[in-house]
Amino acid sequence: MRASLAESVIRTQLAFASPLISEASYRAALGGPRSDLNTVLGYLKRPLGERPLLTPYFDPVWYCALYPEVLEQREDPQFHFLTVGISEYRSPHPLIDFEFLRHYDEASFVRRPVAEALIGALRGGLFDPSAYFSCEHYVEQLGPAADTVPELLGHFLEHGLHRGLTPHKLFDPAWYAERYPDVPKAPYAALRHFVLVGDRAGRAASEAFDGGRYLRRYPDIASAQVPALWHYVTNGVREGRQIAIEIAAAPPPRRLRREAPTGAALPTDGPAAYERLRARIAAQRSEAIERHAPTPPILKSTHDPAASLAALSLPRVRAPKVSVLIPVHDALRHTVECLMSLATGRIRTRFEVIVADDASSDPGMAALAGVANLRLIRNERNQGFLRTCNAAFAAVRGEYVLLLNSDAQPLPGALDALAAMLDGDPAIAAAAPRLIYPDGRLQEAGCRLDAAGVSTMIGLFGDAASPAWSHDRDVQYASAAALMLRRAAIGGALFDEGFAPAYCEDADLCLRLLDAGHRVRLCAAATVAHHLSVSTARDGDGPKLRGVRANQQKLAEKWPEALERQARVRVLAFYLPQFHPTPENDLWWGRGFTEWCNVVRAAPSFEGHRQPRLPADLGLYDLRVPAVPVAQAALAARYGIDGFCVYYYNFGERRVLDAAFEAIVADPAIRFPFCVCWANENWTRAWDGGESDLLLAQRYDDATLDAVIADTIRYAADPRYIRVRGRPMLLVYRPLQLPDPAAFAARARAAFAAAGEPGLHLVYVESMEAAGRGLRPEVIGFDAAVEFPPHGRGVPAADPIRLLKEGWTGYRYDYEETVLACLQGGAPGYSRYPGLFPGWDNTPRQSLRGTSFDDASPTLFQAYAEAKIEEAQAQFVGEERLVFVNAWNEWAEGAVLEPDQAHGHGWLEALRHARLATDCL
Amino acid sequence: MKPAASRRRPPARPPERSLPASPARVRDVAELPLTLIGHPFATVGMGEQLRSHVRACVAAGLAPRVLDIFGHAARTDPEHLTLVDPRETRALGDGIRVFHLNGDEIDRARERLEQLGQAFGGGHNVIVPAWELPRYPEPWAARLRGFDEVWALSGFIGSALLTAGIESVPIGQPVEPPPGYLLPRRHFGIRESAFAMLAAVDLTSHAARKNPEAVLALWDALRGADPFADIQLVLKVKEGDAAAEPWAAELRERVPEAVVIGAPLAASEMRSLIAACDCFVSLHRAEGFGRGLGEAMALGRLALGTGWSGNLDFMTEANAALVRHDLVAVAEGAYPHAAGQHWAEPDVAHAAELVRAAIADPDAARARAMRGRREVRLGYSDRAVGLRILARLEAIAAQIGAGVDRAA
Repeated sequence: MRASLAESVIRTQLAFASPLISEASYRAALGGPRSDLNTVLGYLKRPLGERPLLTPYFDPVWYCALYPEVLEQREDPQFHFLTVGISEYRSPHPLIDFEFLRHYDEASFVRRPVAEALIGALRGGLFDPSAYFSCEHYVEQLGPAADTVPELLGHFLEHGLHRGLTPHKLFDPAWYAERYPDVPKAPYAALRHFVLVGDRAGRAASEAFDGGRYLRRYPDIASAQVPALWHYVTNGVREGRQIAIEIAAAPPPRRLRREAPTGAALPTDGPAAYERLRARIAAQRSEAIERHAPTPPILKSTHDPAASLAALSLPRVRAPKVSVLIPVHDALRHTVECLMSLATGRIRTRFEVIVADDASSDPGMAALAGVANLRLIRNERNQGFLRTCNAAFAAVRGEYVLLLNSDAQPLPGALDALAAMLDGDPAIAAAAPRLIYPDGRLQEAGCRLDAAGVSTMIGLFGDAASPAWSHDRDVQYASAAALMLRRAAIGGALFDEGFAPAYCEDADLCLRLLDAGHRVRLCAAATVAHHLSVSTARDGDGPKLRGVRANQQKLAEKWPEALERQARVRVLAFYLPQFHPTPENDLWWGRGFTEWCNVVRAAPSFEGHRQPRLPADLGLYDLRVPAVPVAQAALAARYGIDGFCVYYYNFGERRVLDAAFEAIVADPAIRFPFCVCWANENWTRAWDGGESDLLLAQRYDDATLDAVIADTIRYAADPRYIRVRGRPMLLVYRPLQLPDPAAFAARARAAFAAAGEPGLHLVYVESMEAAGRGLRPEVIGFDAAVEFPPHGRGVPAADPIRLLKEGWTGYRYDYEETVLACLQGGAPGYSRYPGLFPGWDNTPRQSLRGTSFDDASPTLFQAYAEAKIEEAQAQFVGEERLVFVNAWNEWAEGAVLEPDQAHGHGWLEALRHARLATDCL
Repeated sequence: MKPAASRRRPPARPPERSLPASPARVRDVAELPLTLIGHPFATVGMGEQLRSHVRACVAAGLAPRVLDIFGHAARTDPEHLTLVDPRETRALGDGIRVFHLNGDEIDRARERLEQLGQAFGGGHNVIVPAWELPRYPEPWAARLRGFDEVWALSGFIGSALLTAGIESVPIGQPVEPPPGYLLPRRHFGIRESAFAMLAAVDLTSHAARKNPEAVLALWDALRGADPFADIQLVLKVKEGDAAAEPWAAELRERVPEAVVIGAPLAASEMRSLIAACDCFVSLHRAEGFGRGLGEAMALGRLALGTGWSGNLDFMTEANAALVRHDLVAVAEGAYPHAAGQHWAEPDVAHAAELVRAAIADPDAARARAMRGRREVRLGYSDRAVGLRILARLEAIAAQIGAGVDRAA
């Protein structure tokens, strides 16, 4: 008995050592220090119901209500939580929810004991402790005083709550107590009542949030039996669910409906919106650059170049595979460090080093002659970079030549990786490493040229680890600071001496290689550190800038057609071949049904909601009329859209919506460049590609796959069919619905080869379940992906709205914010063609459950398009420079480029202007 | 027009850097101060010409200063301010001075310089005159001889100068549009579906040269042939023009569907307007250079113009639509110093044929416009013209050095 008491005292004392209990609160409650066993004994001697609370983060009433077994077993709830509950992540308090915290701050809870992680999170104030307490909101209420508060939740419980402050902008305990007579009036008791009882019962949390209305609007939440406010905060707000103030039961007055801005032409929003979004995009990019803390690479360095040089020895190689050609002019220390990186770089490839000394004046350079196995070529008179390289190039022996600046150092593995890339594909004539600054920032991941011959270093100052710059890809050119060339592909002189003394000679060399049908490719596995100072060119920067400009002009005059052709980006728009009656739709929806039936009857769901969205120039067209695709193609061509990606429906048992498309295919006179996208999804009553209310189920048996492939081969034979590097392009809308996508890919490739095609360019659409997964196309046997916004990218609109429809339970997103989200983080680490959406709103199909992206405008779309075209220019070359628009004519989903009554030709004009601005008209 | 009091005055600046003590030491052309003098804020052609040369110099890595010699024009256009403000000077400088002035302004300009206490003789003076007829007026040529050299804005102007015995250096002028937002067609009230033809009309003086009547005749021919063709005429009438109002009123009556823009447009708006129209029409009788046509080409629009005079520097059969013409004597009083001179009379029927062809085969018209864009961007970008200026300045710098050497 005595032993068990002693044990119990010690166990209790240990439990009370928790960081959740402060020394001060302990003393205040028990009158002695924590180290004193007698105070612990005093605590234990008190009856269960009279033991004092030692921490503000524990509420025994709450705890016992949640875990009644604690009381049933006559255990001390405080002790139970500190010893058992906390390790099981049981909630000690209505405003502390471990699951919620761990969702946002998993890392802390992995690294540290739970109590420490909790107290850390509470003090940090970065993460909300529960859905019902918002640190940000509390800080706002405190104002400047917040800076002096060490811990927000504790402060709220002790002071704020009693001063009438609220824990969350949607939750006001005092209002709640006032509103419901059965709720205790004390502020804390009211708070606990709501979290424990009220929210589950769908009661209103504040003037701003009525749980009952929320649950009625979204029956899926009601049926999941989750608390309303909790759901809204944890999920609903991100899903774009609305908690708008509703207009009373009476239907909206007719006047209001007519005022809804549709049908009438909207004024253009002018340059301000454009400049704002452009500035925000630029700020987002520079913030990413500023936020990035680069890791400097480990570089060779010497304080005594002469001694290091004397100690240097390069491998003796009889028949080098790679000749490393280093043009130098003084800069002994950098040169020695560069040689050290080669000498000690554990390079497996057989290589020789040739240093071409362009009449250095530093006498120390002469010692280079003494380095074992280094071939030194010396100009007696200064020839400049270009001529020095050309002269030395004639002396190299290797199959490959690595041009390397003396202020560069290949990081381990770089040389081998570059050689392996050239070994791997004879079409590659130049392999470029990624260049980084000595501080670890990216300098270039290849370069691109505009039509005027002006070059851009791709990824400049960016995060070298960013996926956008970390995969192999073809580039237009790369700096000769470090570039491995296939000597046989060069033929004759290395650089065109017309560019002497320097600038643009490397761009010219790569253009020459491309012109001869070779490829220039970035090798992401190879990294070279390069001391480059990039000074921004301002007025009167003197001879250097003038030399650069003169050679850019020479480049532009030498390659006018090639530069313009390479600068091109093809813009393709998804095309819906709906808008004509079909027997299936006649049966399911009534005779004569087309999507126009949905489009024209749409009504605004809330004030400012632009519905119905109605066509302008092309009218409510019927695709059976041959003049329609002619007019569509003419419009597309007028604004520089290069073609249509037509949805193709083949369910196995039947093809649907194919009549109009087949008519286009059958008439070669229609100037209608196209490719197809197999829209492999179920047709349902809800138009959602889901599993319930099936109208037509997509089949994937061999016969179906073969029929899809055979149709595509037939389409691809059309001269208008869109190809990439000579290969017809086929898209698959929902790749992960294919039971075995890789098998489908192999089957299609074999069939295309058998049909005499040079290959197949197979592209998957990042739609639905494929959105946001970062699925590398090669993993499922595809060649590339297409970004398909807004799938998976919406940023909700949370501003209050006034509903115009009784019973509306839809979703709203903010167009501009979504655009920014789509641009955040740049390109992924695989081939993905950028996608754009001019807007999205499926209210025509879902009158009461519509999803809309609000406040889209052609002006915003233009700024968005410019950024995405630039992404295509940075990530791709040649025919792979593609941008897709979702969509040309998804009228029932509000994703439309065709002229509409509100914005006219604005969407198309915005695209033309975006192409002008990005120099790829 | 803003009252003079509200004009922003050029800011006071520290004294200009002077020439190195001995010009023989000049190694780099940038060490020679470069000043462009003229009407940097004027919306007329001479202003545009000067500003385009400022942009060209900057593109070539030079650091030009700009002197607003008369200070007449209101400083309202933000784009002009951005370009000129940071480069403005009140001194001629003692290096190379490039005057963007017309022959008839030279006397007044020199008087003005004297008032300003600026020594005309203290540097190398270049003049870049505009002119639109085959022979340069002799009274003005005498004024040009007071300069060290003359730059020609076009081959046409170069030939005209030569008839007056004046040699010139071919420089040209850039037509590259500065980057920036372009307003949509709707902003100007132009029908979006239409094939829109834009013509600039200047009725302030000697309207016969720009020949707006031919544009109306072209319209009549097109509308007469097809009353329902989806075409539209857009006329930009020069601002502040008393004569223009009655003309515009009459025009609205005659071509009610035309869009007539009489309000002053900022540079960016004018560029937007050009980009918003399918075709830029100039049925001029003579042009010194034909900037509007060049700007339209740079924006990827079809340029349709009389196949004669300065615009032939950059317009060809392959990159634009050239209108056939006859050469006729300039009617008496139709243009200053025109006695005995000739100019072109464009064939309106041919112009109509060219427009109809462009509408019938938009692909071909676009291909032509794209070629035009490529070619003017190659030869008439800021950089291309800037490099021509740079080459000439380097030659001048070498000359100055050599001259001083000889003198020594």
